[in-house]
Amino acid sequence: MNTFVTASTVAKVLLALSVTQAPTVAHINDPLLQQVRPNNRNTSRTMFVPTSVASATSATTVANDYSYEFINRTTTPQENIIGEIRQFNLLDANWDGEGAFKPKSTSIKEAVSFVRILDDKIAIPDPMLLASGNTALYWNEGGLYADIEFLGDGRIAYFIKSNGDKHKGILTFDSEKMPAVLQTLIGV
Amino acid sequence: MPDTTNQNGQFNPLHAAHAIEQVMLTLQFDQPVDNAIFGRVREAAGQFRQELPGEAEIHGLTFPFGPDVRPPINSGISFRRAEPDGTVGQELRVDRTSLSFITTRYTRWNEFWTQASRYFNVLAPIYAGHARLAGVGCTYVDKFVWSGNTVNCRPALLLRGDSKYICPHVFTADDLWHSYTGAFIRVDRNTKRLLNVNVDHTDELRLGETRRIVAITTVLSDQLNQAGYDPCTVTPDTVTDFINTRIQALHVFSKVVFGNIINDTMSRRIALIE
Repeated sequence: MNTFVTASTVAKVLLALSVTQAPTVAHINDPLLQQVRPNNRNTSRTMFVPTSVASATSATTVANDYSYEFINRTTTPQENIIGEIRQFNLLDANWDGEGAFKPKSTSIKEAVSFVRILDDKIAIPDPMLLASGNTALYWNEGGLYADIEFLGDGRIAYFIKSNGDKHKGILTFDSEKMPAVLQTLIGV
Repeated sequence: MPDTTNQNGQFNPLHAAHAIEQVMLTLQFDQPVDNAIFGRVREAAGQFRQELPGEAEIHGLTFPFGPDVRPPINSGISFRRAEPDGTVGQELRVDRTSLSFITTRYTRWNEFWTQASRYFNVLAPIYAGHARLAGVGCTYVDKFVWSGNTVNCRPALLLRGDSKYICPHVFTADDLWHSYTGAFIRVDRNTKRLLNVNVDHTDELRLGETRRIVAITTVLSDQLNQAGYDPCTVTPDTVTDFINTRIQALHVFSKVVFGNIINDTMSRRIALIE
């Protein structure tokens, strides 16, 4: 008699395996049961279950090889900027001590959407919160100064100074597509 | 100021903008498909090689307990995308009874589901013609990292004190802890939903350094054709719509559960609420 055990069995993941560790008994179809617990062998969960879950009996977790590949990614520059922007959500009115308006959530959302669609190759802007409660992004390097204010109503106000030329205006932003004007002027 | 912070330290979402370490979607079928059908699955999955170029066979092991020794069984295949930092960003796993898609590059639900559904929409109908859909699962792993002296680390700065998904005694614990809970929920006449919420307050070894974390694993699986429930018939023609509806519902429910675990301040910080 052979018993078939596969590493990929664990990929049945949290459907099959969660059933086996459930607080009450659930019906497991026979073929599945055979693969999950062949001949009373406990199937290892460690390959697919996140490290912290796999260590149910230990308060110190150590990454196994598989999860190491998955979990140890670095935070991207875009995520860091979005994280900074989202922290504006935590501020109340008068956050600057000079009567500033409460940060506008719609403006924050627009700024986050904008950062998401930035080209990976361009310099990451710095976020700023304006007294109006609007969120803005700015670049100031290599002969380029640009600031973009998200008005919170689907529009962007921009001011760009590049190679001695100045450009300013207001344009619409649908949160999905980079406005062509900004692509041209900033290269975003 | 925010109650996630104090002068002695604070919890931060794993990736600044969000706390999601990984998300996994799974489709489970009630029996393995045979070689011929699995060949069709593999062939169809091959069209995703360009976007998930890291291809690996998933080999089974055989444990002989008698004279009938068979060769190792090839049980599945995985397609991965590796990121520049060497980590696995996405993986599609295909085997004889299940499909799963995992990402560590989660940004937005719509993007994630758009990608995953492209795979599922191609592959699931092949299974559905030969096996019953037994379950649809969605798992999130969220992680928050303590910044500051660990002596001052208090998960109550992050978690909702009255959460029904966390054992109350952990809020007064002086040391690290785990809080695991689960329940079946009767969603409708066909669906037995298993909810597991596993919260770990642990020290995690990462890149040679230890950091203190709170990890929250939210596991949801809609189990079908269960005893005490009405049968659920899903055909190759209906499976994609069925899966779409189910997974969207699981996603919405997981957000509700998660919002019942972390406090409002952190919920705003990661844009779970505005």
